[in-house]
Amino acid sequence: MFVLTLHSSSARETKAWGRRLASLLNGGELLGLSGELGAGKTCFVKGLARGLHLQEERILSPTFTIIQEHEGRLPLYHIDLYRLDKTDIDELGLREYLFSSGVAAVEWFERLREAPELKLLEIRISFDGANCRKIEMIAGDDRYSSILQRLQQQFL
Amino acid sequence: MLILGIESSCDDSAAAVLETQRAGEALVRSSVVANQDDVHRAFGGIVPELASRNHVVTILPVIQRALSTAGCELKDIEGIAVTRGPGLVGSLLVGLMCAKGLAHSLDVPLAGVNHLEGHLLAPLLEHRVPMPFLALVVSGGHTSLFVVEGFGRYREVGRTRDDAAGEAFDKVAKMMALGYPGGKVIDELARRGNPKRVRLPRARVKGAPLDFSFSGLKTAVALFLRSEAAVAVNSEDLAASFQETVVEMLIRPTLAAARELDIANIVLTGGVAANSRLRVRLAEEAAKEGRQVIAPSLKYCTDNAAMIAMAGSWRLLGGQRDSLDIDAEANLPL
Repeated sequence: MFVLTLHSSSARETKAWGRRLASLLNGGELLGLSGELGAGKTCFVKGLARGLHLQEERILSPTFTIIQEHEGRLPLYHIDLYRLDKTDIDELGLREYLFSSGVAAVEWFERLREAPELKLLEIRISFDGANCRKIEMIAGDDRYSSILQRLQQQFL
Repeated sequence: MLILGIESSCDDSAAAVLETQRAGEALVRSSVVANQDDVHRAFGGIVPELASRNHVVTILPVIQRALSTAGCELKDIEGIAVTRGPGLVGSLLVGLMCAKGLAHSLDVPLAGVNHLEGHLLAPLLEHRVPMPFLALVVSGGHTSLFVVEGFGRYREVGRTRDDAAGEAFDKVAKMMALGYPGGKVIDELARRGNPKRVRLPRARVKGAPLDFSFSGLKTAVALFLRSEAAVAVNSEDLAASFQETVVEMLIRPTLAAARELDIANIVLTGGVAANSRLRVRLAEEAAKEGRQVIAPSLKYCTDNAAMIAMAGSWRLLGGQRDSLDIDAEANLPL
């Protein structure tokens, strides 16, 4: 399994990594974001949105609405399972978003009950000192491994 | 005209009966809310599937109670107003389908209402507020400033760039292990705390003085809780410091908008308008500039159906009606 570990020392840098990752996406990707409150998951998605030619101001926390759809270079489905206890993809009607031709970015994706058919790129953001964050990207299959390899080659 | 209002956009099932002859002037004959907090508290949040299932159970008894409290029967109802968005689709559908069924069987007009319009017009349930007025709508899902120029004429002049203020309250309460719903717990704790004890950042949005941002504040509290300094600070002081910061961050853009647009009347509405400190501080600061703050009573700040009936009433009184095939929309724009 391919794992890429990045470090960010500001919200701006976290966004920049989101933007760079977005430049390598072709649609049909599923990104699962995890990390404590305030770690920077929505911040990362703002960067991702920039990279998909969306205005980052339009990306609001989807905690209340659970799903927000945006039309960029590719459709971006910004999903947040924070308010849910445990759920499964059919309970919420998530299937159409998770298996779409757009990019699905799911915050608190670990609240989704085990779904073996889901292959994803996991993005774990953790506190690493005052303003710093560690961003670990874990490829769930070969397709995501090659995206991470390109990210590494082009930007590190 | 007797209007039945129905609301089921999120956690609460609500129904109300409103009596009105002229747009904006109404008598609330009844307003009933079945709160689901107890159902969701066990889960520390909302469970959409549970929410919609509970709406199915509660919606008819709630409507029945609204009618009996108002001293009327279904056959007396002359129009129905129902929330059709924004909100959780599964929950919205329960109220909407119920409203359509009633409108069809009673042969009365139906008005599908935007939940936010309900919040904007909620103060009219109790007060006469001359238009235009400025409205700060602040809840778990929204933090926005609107200019209400007239019925159906709403202009958003400021909004949050990330989290809603109510969401910040809930998430900070969660970080502090205070429970759900967070806004109420923090408000109560803060009364016994020192708001100057912990210095937290008051973010401004560069180039957009009427916009809000609460994400950085949430992160600052997370960082503070991890720091050594946190050990010496009790929950009361941290709650008070956090609340004071949110309140100031809400007041500054609101007054800036009132000045810029030269509006004397400011309406404070939405679930977070229940916060006691926000009510007091906004009124104080506005008074210094000769402006007036009007906030609905607590029961009309949080989700309720009387405000939905009010928001539907001006269209129903004007002879407008929606067709029975309107849909629920999760992201319905105002």
